[in-house]
Amino acid sequence: MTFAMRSRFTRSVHFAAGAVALWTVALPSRAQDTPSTYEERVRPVLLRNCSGCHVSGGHAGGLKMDTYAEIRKGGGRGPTVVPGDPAASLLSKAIHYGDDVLKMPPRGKIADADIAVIDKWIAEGAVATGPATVTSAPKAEEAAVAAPAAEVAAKMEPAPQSTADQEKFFETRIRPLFAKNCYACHTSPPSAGLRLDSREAVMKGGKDGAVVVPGHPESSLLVTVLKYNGKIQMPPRGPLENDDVAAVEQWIRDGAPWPKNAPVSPTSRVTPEQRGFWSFHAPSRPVVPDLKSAWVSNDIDRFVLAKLQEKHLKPVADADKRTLIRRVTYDLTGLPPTPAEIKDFLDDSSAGQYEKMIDRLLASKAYGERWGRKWLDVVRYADTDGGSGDFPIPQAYKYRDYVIRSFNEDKPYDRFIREQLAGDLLPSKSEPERWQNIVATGYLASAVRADGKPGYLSDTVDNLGSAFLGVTVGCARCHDHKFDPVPTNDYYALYGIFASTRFPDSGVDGARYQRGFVFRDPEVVNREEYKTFQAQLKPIQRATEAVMGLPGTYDDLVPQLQARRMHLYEHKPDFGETAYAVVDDTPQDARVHRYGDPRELGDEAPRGFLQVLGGGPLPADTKGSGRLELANWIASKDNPLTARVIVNRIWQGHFARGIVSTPNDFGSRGAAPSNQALLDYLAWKLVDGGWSIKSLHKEILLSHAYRLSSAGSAANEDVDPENAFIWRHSRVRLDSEQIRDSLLADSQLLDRTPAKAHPFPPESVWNYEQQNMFSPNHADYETDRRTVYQMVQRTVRSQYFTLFDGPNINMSTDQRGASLTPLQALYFMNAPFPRRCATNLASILTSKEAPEKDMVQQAFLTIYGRPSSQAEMDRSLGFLHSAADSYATHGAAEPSPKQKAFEDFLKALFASNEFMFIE
Amino acid sequence: MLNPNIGTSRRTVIRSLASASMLLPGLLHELMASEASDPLAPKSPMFPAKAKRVIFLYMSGGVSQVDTFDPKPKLTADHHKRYKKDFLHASPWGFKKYGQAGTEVTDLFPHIGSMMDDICLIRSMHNDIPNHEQAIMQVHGGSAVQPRPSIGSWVSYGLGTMSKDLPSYVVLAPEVPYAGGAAWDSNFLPAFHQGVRVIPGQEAIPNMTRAGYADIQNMDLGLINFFNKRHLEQHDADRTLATRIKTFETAYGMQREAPEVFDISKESDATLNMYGVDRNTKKGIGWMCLVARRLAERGVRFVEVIDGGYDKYTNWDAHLNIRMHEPLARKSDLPVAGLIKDLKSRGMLEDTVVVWTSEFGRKPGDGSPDEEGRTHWSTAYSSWVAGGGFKGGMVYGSTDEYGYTVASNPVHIHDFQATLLNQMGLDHTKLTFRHTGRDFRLTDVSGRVIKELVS
Repeated sequence: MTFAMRSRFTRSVHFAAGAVALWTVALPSRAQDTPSTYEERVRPVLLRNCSGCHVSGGHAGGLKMDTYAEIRKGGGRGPTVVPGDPAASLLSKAIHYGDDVLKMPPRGKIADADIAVIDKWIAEGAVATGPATVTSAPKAEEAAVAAPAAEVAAKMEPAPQSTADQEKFFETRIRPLFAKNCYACHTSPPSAGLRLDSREAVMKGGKDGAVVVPGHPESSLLVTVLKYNGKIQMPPRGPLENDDVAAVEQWIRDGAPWPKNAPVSPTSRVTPEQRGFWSFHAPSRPVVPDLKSAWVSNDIDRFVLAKLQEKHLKPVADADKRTLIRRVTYDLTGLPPTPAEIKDFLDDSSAGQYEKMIDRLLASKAYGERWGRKWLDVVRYADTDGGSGDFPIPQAYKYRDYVIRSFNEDKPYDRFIREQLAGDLLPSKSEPERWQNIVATGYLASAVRADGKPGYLSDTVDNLGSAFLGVTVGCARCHDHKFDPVPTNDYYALYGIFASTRFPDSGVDGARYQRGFVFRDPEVVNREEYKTFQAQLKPIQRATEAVMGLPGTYDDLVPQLQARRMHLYEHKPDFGETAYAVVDDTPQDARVHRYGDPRELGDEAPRGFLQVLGGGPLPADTKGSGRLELANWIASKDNPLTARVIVNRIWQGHFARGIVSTPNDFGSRGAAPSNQALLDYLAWKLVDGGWSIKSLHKEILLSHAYRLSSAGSAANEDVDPENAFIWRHSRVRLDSEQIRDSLLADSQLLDRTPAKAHPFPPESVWNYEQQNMFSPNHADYETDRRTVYQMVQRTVRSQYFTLFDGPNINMSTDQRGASLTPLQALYFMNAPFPRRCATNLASILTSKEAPEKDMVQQAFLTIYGRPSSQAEMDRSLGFLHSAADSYATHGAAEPSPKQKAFEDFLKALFASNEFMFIE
Repeated sequence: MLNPNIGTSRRTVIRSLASASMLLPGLLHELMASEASDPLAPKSPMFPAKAKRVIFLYMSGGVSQVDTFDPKPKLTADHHKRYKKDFLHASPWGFKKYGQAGTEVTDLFPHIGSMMDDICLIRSMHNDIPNHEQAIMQVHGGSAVQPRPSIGSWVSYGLGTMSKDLPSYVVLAPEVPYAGGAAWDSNFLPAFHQGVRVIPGQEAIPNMTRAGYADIQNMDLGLINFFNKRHLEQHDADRTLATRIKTFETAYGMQREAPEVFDISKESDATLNMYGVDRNTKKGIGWMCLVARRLAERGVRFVEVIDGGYDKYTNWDAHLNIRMHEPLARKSDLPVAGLIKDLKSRGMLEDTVVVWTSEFGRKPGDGSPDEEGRTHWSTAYSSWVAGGGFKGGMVYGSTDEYGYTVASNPVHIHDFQATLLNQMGLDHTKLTFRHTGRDFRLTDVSGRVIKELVS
């Protein structure tokens, strides 16, 4: 590569040549005396004056002038030279400034001597007497026409010999300026193909051509964009200060010196230093602190107490039995304990009573409904696809039920991972097992369907990173991760695995029906009626695609075609059960999407796993997509993060705060663990116990640390206001599911029959598109089953979930909010649902015709899990009488003023803080 | 910048509630004290603000720039001529000059035209993706790729609310736009910053209508407070518990205030005429503009009015025929102009930013000469702003002779958002929220305040 190198002196030469030269003017004698060969005379002039735009990679106006052939070929305006006739030659006209439209170079007229050289060459026939491409540096003698010899470019020159001053100037002014303002985008992968982190890269330029013409700030694109007056304006967030731009100009004027020992840019390799971060090392079995204390119940307590002692914190007293049963029951099942369960627990004074209760709750069906929901938060579960038509996925619930069942069966967590990522590739002993493994891959299928295939594949990679590994892999989609050692290559190594996987399609504008769902009976596709149906569908689909490819609107044709398709679906034969699941597709490596833009493809990234976690390319003998290998790599006891991330989620489910308080981010921007030894112990314990989640629950719940009261302590609060070290139990607000489920359970409305499929409209009426979404307002399919079974729509949150901090349906939710807002209060004051629950419970409690006092007592036991105090009893009875009187006065109370008053009393209990918080 | 009267009246209300046995006197102290923990309590801006509130008029579907605020005589002259791969399509409407600057505005908007001296018009808007869903997400949340918190949620997060009885961010939306609720979602910001959607003609704020008799509700609240107070005493007067107690008091205020806010029947004839509505109107763009003023007046920080929704026959998405702009323009012209006039007459325009925008513009030409509609176009479109320190009578930026591309002074949606936040006293680079390990902001990594737009 050749660069024209000149100093600031050159410019003064240009501007000194102010007089307008015409073709008729006699050429300077020097030029006349010398033979005007292209190579020796013309080329240096072009190099000096046209670099940046037409030489050295530039092709402004479609004109390149690097070679003789290119000059003769001309550019967008046609031929550049008319041999023998300078006056008719565009090149000559332009440099003479004799053409109204085209004056070149735009920054100012070139030296008369240079003009003379060009004119003479054209007049003599514009011949090439040398090689077509100039490779040697121009002779000093020629260069001296316009500039001192030493400042002329040389081929493949290294950075110019920079002076110490220039180096200092670069290091103090230029490099920091680039680093601060440009490196976010112009390193790896390079935005617009441009890297600014080495001289070589800067000289190479980007997709807009060369950006720096050494010696020529005025024709360096870099300066133009920094000055913010052209089409491209950089940096995008706002122009630099004037003196920063001036510094860059100065640096270019000096020849863009770049000190030799410049550090290399971020690479796609991960260095040992980067691997040093705690979470990227596999946990070793920590030594259990040797503590002799009566406080300690199990090894967890030894870790907790050691930390408390280190921080000079004293644990508070234990919770009482009522508090404990309410806490454990909510934690494990999401439901309140019934008065009978409370009584049994209080009456049982046997040694193993607490453990017995834990076993009972872990064995209940409600356990999977509670903990399955927590996993569904992490994998952003929904029943519609989130694309522009938000198509329903009537089969999605199968994956939901699979998750709930997996928790209830205490499926080993490593197995749970393998099934979700590669269930279709696992061996199975029976057809039902094979089918449930396929349903499990609904995890992958349910990626958010916005922004086309690159959109959902990226969403898959993002979620995989957050859910299983606690790594914000998603940050590496557009550039190397800024804070954690996840290069973009690693992102697309994972992406390629999913690009080699066939995802089902729940419906798009152009095909408003399900495609690529997995049949339970794999033989279906060979059946005659299946083939016939496909043969009927195909022409309609082809026609639809053709019509949608036409310019303009297609409002007349598409509805007709859709009507035909819908008619066909009305008579669709039954092909048996299907699942929203994935299967392997043709294996292929993905190419890096530069700056996350799927249109800007970069290098191929061989499929593989994250380097920083010990991953690398797929084994050479991999046959399929690589999903099975990925699943095995994640579900390995050697993966530094898998076990830690899941035990942290379980811990958070019991203590309201994870040991790492950012459960989806174990990277350098996540929170540091409050007790790493404990975290590693739990991770080791999980793997050691065969990845049994239920055993882990039990060990946690049996610890003394879990059984503390929620009482405050001023001394402790000063040191640890967040209760990160477990000196007490944190008070938590019920989450959205717990609130609704408790209202239903307390009022005996809760429907415990197995959940069925949602009543979505049949596929034969699907005509959804952006302008006609499935249900722009959340569809109301509400039942009295537990909230985990309610239909979740991806594009619209239900009002209830908005109110009580339900999960984010588009992204992984690792922690629920617990806001307290007036709108929530309005819900308890005026919404029909709490009223309906109160009405039902009132009718049950009052139907027994027991004394009023007993009814009140029963209400306290049901809703608060404890009997009322005398003061509460008196106040409640007083309320019941006044309210009943008032209802009687209003004269419109069905079924009776007394029962209406009782409803209000129950509603007040539901609205109160004691119902709303778990101690 | 808090209206001192609001605080006073609030305390008065609490006292009056106490005397009406709504609240127990013993709780008063805690309630007052816990105000500091109220996440929606008004916050000071980062630097002196020009504006206190925003009324964001969002024309859903994509308003054509060359038919409204960006006249192109050459497009008319070259009707049906080829341009690149397209046939050019003239605007069916004429343009007239308005205001001291003689700014040309379409015949569709004579009333808005008459307000041009108060309007700062930007003809060089652009954003990244000409698809509704992505563009709506970007206009509201800054990112075209992912749903992010809406600009209203960011403003609420940055400044809290000046009204104790109303939400900080209210969205008047008869229908949801193409992007669904993502337009006003708080996403990773705390949920109380989410826009509270009001469906005109229905119960404005969820559950705001008292169910049952007033005296019995007072007794209910008294009983709830009795239980809560005991509970609070037994739990070390925990702040979280006290905060929730206070939410009932605020809710009570909301229940009392809200119906009045949405009831326009007590407005004067002169005011109603400004918006072209009558006393019994309960929906429509006129009602929404007037209610937007009423909400802003009562301290709601960010009010969004959505004209049109996901139905392409009733929104601005004029694929079928560009003339479908006409009925919509006719409906909104007077009320939108009336809103500016009304704010001005009340002295509120100075510190209220009125934004008029769409998610993008529409393409001046089409591949077919017979096409009567226009397709999406995000490379260049027009938006305008009035009040809140924006320069009235200004026209900023321009497009090429056909209105395809920005010719001068481009304003990216991030620049627009940065400037808007600036007027609210918020530095868009500093208004951040930590999520998944990094600080997020409305303008992502770009955006600059366009100083030329503001005085």
